[in-house]
Amino acid sequence: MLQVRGLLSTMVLEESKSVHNDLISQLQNIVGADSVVSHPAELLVYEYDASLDRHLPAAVVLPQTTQQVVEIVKLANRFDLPVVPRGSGTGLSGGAIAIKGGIVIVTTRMNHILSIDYANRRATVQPGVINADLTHYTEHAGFFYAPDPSSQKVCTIGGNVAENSGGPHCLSYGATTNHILDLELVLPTGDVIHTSGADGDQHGLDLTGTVVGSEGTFGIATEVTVRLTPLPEDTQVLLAIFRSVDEASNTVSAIIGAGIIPAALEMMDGLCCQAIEAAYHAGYPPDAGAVLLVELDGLREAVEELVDQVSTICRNHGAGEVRRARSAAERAALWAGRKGALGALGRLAPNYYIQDGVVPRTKLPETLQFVEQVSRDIRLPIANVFHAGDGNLHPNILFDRQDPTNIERTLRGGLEILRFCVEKGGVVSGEHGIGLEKREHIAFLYTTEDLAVMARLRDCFNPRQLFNPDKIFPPLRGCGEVRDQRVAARLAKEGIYAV
Amino acid sequence: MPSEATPPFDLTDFGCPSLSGAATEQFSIQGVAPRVVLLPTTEEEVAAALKAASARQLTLAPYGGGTLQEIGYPPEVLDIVLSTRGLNRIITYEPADLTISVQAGCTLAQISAALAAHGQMLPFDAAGTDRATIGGLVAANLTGPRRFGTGSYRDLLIGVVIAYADGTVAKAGGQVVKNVSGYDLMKLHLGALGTLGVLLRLNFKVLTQRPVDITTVITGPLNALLSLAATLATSQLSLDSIELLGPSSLRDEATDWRLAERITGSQAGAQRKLTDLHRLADSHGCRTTTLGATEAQELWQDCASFISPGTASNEGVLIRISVQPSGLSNLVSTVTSLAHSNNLDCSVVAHAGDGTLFARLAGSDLTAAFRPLWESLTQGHANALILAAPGNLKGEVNLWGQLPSGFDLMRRIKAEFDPHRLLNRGRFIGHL
Ligand SMILES: Cc1cc2nc3c(=O)[nH]c(=O)nc-3n(C[C@H](O)[C@H](O)[C@H](O)COP(=O)(O)OP(=O)(O)OC[C@H]3O[C@@H](n4cnc5c(N)ncnc54)[C@H](O)[C@@H]3O)c2cc1C
Repeated sequence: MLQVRGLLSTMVLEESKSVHNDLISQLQNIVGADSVVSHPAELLVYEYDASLDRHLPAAVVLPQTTQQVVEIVKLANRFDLPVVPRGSGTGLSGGAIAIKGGIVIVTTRMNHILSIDYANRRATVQPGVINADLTHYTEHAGFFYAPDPSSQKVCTIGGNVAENSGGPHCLSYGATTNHILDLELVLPTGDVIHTSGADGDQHGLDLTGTVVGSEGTFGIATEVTVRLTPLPEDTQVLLAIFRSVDEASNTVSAIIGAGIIPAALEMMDGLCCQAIEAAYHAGYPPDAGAVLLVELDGLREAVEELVDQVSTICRNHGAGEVRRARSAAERAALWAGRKGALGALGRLAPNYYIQDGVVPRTKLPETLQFVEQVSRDIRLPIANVFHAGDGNLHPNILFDRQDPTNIERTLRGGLEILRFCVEKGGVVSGEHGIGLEKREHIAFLYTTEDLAVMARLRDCFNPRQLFNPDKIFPPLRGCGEVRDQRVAARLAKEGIYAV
Repeated sequence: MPSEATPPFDLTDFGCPSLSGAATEQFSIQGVAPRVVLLPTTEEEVAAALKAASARQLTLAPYGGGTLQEIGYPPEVLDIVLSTRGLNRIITYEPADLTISVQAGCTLAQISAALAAHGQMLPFDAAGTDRATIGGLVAANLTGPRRFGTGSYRDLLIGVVIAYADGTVAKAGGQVVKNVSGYDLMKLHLGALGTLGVLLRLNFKVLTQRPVDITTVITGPLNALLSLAATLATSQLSLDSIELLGPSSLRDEATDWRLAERITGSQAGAQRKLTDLHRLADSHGCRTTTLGATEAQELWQDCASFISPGTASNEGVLIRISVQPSGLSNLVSTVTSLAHSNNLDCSVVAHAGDGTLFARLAGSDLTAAFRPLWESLTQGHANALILAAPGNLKGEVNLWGQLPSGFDLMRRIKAEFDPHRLLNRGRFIGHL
């Protein structure tokens, strides 16, 4: 008996080995041997993103053309293998993790800017183009690509599209979805479509808008046409320094309440300021309770007025000091500090667990008080650095992965914060996506019916669920319920109704 | 399936007030009268009505103010019109958060009045705002002049509650200005003409009214105006609207080509925009006039009426063609010369900053003259749409011009959410 079992498993192993070899050689035929990664040691690089989970894929491919992507997707279908699109792997919700193995398609070699058309304010790029590169490339002509995630020096436009990424300047300029005109999309079947009309406008359903933010579960974007924005004539940056988070968050509510939407309105608490200052010497006061970084842009005359108005509001709400960056260099230093904040947190603790909940902006003060209370309850420090103007929190729970009690407390803290956000009329993710990380938490927000509708939409694009499987939807109990709904929907399709 | 073949149904089964007989006439859609009109007053009643209708496989059309029902093909079959006018509550409005949640049957005028009381607004340009419901406007997604600078439905819709064909009610998005929790179903229903579900509730982020709101009109040769429009669209002035108005397109019967701008901002900001605008117009050899408040309001109201299919479908055809803005100049000459060679009167209005052209065509033998024009236009332009046309013409042409490469996917989505094609049967792209 034992012997037989041993023999069987060897056979299975042998068979899967030969299947694996077959897969690798066919992938190599498509993209060339130097564009396929299959050695376990080399695969380790692709086992994680910037979230906490990890899982090894069976193979990683780095195509350069749409046609190669199409062939890879068709091959995956023949092998019944999951496909996971991946850009730079900076995602914070585990979206690029191959949780069920399979093939990871990495877009980093699809990194050409295909065309730039200033007259029509648009550019078409391959998905692996780095976000910041597009702005660098167009600045000289007086344009920029507005969505600016803090990770913009490394993250890809394709990843931004999948996550509908935000960034400090999304407050006035809108998130990724407001800047995407068209996508060339390889569907999970291997078919290729354009999601908009040739002019970048809706013709029929708004597939472009539907696909942006679908986290790689609707297909893989192989070309992206983005909107370019004229650079503002003038930009001013203020740093308002407060004794407490409370004062700073009341100020945010007051600025928005006065109908002023700055280009960016970011908050950093004292802990963050200390970490940033230690790392970058960017000009943040290490003894502040909290600071607001406010950018105002537009025509010179209008910006001057706004600077006055915002400074006054800040002072009236307790700012001890409102500094104005005097030069482009000072502005750049402040922004470098802000955008490097997560990196700087590494100085405070070995790990951080970042939350991405959103609350209505009037609820910021009480929400931040709650975050402080959670920090006391779980006995772990929480550093806040976030897009305050949008109400998009980023409490970073600082912990040590090596300490198991730490992990339990960290997760509990994150959960309580997100629950609170939802109770206050908010949501569980403002820009990082659901992925693996927030699969459970999405059920705080949506009912089984809500999620079932979303699952049905996914199945229209991704009927075999081979594309980025096990993402977004709650696993276990939740999943069962979602499935029941889908069964009911299927039956309804056949004209059978539950009584 | 002709309506006659459907078994008789009991109107009381729908659990809400209803109209039948001659009273249904006023809810006709493109000449097709429903057998019954339902007038639910709660979201639950809508869901129950949909459930009952789908159990009997009755076709149904959601109906707001009826101002945009000319869009799309006539219904293939129409059993029920479901009026959303009874869903007219503003559910929450938080001025300090700059968000509002409204039921789908609220009119734009009603919402605007609530917002104006707090110095806020939604920048949606529509005709007949005291009748047009927010649900209908979003379902049609017919964008107006302010789309260019202030954004439109797509940019401001942050949450929805939808009743699907089988009566399932589901929400998406939320009441916050930034959200990636789950799929963006707001976009799925935007411009879907109510073919995937009935909008029950919509959440928007709202804008603050600017202290200054000025309208200018620039006249000059067409080419100079188009080149000026291109300069303005790529400038730092961030104008709200840059609208090209063809000769005799508006009620004022002006016979020149004109470029109308809407400029908002603070005193200082708006003044600066105005100064720059004058300078740029001068350098293009064009003349700038600033309109008085009443004139300005009339002009934008006229623009909204021009692009709205509700007003003139009996007399003519209204088409919309989208191109990249730099293609507008060619498009204008193509459309006007095609109209001329086919003996059709033609007037145009275009969102010059976006590259969206609207043309109204009329003539004695409209049907015969329009068909060859449409054929040549749609060959060269993938994104062309007939917004309104006389009924006989609608039967002979593809209103959406060419089908896009994603059409199969659209069909799959329709089949998933409305497998029996009960909602607005046959009215949308490709007769979905
Ligand atoms: C330090 C730091 C700061 C950050 N700051 C911000 C911020 O300010 N705002 C913000 O929104 N995010 C931020 N992020 C999160 C992250 O950078 C963004 O989500 C980014 O868009 C991910 O891009 P990527 O190329 O790394 O994608 P990946 O992590 O590789 O993938 C992300 C998701 O996109 C999918 N995907 C990738 N490419 C494609 C494609 N071509 N077609 C279809 N699906 C695809 C993947 O399957 C996955 O689901 C930050 C991350 C870090 C580490």
